[in-house]
Amino acid sequence: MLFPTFTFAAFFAVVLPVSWMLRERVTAWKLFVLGASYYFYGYWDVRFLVLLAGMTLGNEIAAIAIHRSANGASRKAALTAAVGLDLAVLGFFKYYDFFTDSLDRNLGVSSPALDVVLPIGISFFTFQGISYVVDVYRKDTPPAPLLDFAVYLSFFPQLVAGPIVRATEFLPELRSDRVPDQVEAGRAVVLIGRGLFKKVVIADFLGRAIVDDAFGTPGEYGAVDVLFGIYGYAIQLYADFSGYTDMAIGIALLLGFRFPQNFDRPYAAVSIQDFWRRWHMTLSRWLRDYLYFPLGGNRKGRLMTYRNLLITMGLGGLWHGAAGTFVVWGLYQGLGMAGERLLSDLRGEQDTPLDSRDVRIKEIARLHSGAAVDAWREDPSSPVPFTPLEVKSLWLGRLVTFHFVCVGWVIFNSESLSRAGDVLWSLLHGWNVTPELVNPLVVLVIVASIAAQYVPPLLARQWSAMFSVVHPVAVSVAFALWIMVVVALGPEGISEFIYFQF
Amino acid sequence: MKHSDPLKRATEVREVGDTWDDEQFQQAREADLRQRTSDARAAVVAALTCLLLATLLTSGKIVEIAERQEFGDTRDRQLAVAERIDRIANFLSLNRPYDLIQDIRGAGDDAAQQIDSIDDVAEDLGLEVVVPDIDPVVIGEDDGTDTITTSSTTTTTTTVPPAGPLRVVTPETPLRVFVGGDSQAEYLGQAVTTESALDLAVEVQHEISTSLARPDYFNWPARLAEVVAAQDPEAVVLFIGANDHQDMADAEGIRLVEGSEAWQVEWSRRLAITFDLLEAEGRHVFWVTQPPMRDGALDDGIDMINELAAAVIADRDFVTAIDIWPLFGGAAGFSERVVGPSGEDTRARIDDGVHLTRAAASWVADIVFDELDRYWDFST
Repeated sequence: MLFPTFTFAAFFAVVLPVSWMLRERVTAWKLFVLGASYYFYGYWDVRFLVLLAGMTLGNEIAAIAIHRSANGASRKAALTAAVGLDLAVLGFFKYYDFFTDSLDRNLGVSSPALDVVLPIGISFFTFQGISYVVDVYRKDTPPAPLLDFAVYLSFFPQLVAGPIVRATEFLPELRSDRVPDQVEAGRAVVLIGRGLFKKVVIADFLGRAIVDDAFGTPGEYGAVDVLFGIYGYAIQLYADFSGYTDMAIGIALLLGFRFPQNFDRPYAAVSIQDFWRRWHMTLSRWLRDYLYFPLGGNRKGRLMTYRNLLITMGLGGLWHGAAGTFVVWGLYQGLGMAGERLLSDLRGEQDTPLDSRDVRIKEIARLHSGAAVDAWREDPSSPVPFTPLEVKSLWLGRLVTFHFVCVGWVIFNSESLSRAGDVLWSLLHGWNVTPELVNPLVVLVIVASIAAQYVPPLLARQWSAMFSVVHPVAVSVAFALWIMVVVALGPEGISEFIYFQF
Repeated sequence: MKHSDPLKRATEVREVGDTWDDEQFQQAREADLRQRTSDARAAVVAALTCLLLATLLTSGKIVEIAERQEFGDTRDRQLAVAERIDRIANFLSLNRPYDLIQDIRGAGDDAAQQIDSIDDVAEDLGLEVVVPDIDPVVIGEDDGTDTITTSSTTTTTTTVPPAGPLRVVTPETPLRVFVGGDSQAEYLGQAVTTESALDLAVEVQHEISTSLARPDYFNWPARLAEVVAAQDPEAVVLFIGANDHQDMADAEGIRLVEGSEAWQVEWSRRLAITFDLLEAEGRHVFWVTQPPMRDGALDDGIDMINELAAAVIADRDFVTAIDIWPLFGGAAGFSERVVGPSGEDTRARIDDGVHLTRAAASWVADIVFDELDRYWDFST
């Protein structure tokens, strides 16, 4: 069941009112939401419900075992078993064919071909399961009751494509009363409306108008077509994935839950590190907290820091899919981040706290954007959340970062490195060929989408506030008209979300 | 504070020393929260009203989606509900804005989406529609031995090339090729476009989820008639059939159950019309058969379609079957990995168990190139 479908609309028209009606009957509400979430997931393939239920039980048993273990060794053993089980399940479903292919190709070791079918969203709920047992191990949270944990792992708004919500964020919300007069409906409307438009109109339009052809047969087109095809893919991927998570966050808000932000105008990033603080933020922080920090982070010297960045991003790449191109893409990102850190080290830049009263920093902060900067603006006594680059460096940083990311997307979107090479090679010649794919509408959509990355978040907040004070009937009419426009401008049918495959 | 608006106060960059104490922050946050939030009851009523109104505003799309479902009770029920909604929307004129936007976009204007009947296409072209004489295929009893006459383990033709080439192809006058079909045709079309050393001018059209069974969704014969008129292709490569595993309606609207004798006759008739409208001097048609599928029921359907196609092609010397069924497993059944023409074990199918990988599509394209080379003279 996809969000922008009439099937989901009918499903949600039942779930939303019943969910609020059951607000005061907590157990009944949890059972209802669990049932609804299982129905939502089982709509794709009923068989995968067994997997989801099994993952829930396995992680819950491990969490209780960790909690009850008196000594460190048995706690660690239970944690290792749980994480090992989660990774084994993920590895089997997602990477079995990849690893057996690699073994066969490189070492001549043949393994039985099982034609494993990938369950949708397995990467997301596996990571949530791991974060739960690790948080229990770290004593950040006690084990939740089985029903609570089952609701956490299967909650339908975030089940299939994130955001990756941590147990320490979701379970307290589950335990606390949902305040019926504090529903962030205005923000939900903005998020769902924006998400629908990004996914149904922008992503699908760019895919059909330029991206599919530019990546499918790059040799047939001139450099201008291929260049805009790459820009188009950058926007398409962003619109597709962030559109989905916008809808997920908006739907959760209507149900009374607040999910963490997952995208923060990533193409306005001034550095690669900044990009990863803005792109798929919940995955970035998962990798940071459960992989990069345990590896030692930046606490063990420069070389180990570079190594840890490479390992973290390489594995992050592999998380995206069972293919060598994803690993190469991850390593490319890791190399970029390590390179940035190396430059910073060579310049002697220190991670020292900056004086927030510095007028220059305040001026530069106006040009910076991002959730961290907004939070700093609210409390300037906190450490400055960015390196105060010069203004011209800021724009240079944005330009370089965007193009570095775009080259990465070429690898990401190619079946093989040679095909990625074909696409990049097409940029090196044919600049005088008349563009076939680029037209004013394509250019307008790409430019407007990039420009939208620089719209201050304050505007979205003001829109949210506006929707909250307008009469609900007016909001209903306006939003229904918006849905109509999106449906009318959308394609025939709805293509799958790109990130479902991950 | 300069602003009385707490939202602005909370987000504006403040001057040096202009800091708030906890109480001020708390007040600003609470005021902000009051502004940003609504009552749950109002939110639910607004959401349901919105969904109801959106349903009426987009009733045309709902009917369209219901019509595209596979024939059966579920479709009938959904269509009945959708048509009722559409009638109400029509009565209230609420479907006008959607229709207006569709008109402005020109959506659904081409013949392939406007003409629901394949017979209408045949009639317009003055084709004589002959009901093929077929031996009904029993679904699920295929033993893998009744494939199209094979000349090798990988490719098969039912026709003998003409004594001489259809024409001499030069770089100045490249061979006009059209590759069409469902989603399977995407990678094949791209491979034919990019990987040939021959002088080809290739046009590709792949339409997701299309078939001969459902011309009400996309009418391939109508589209091909347009292609013939506009492009006059000399070689037409068709890769259609993976979506034909469903019931269909005959000219009178009677539902034909997939696999029944009536279904097989009707499908064969539609394929015959498709081929016959392409028949012309100097033109040759290449029909790419379907590979084995992972899903058992789909695989059975594919076997039937391959056999029916073989019977239709046998009567037409302007059509060549490119039989890829043995290449992708044949009687041994579906396999994600197969040994390719170069002897290398390669992943040939993507995760859905239906579509070919790009590498596998390249193998099929190579077979297409060999076939083109047999019919045309590329020696210059």
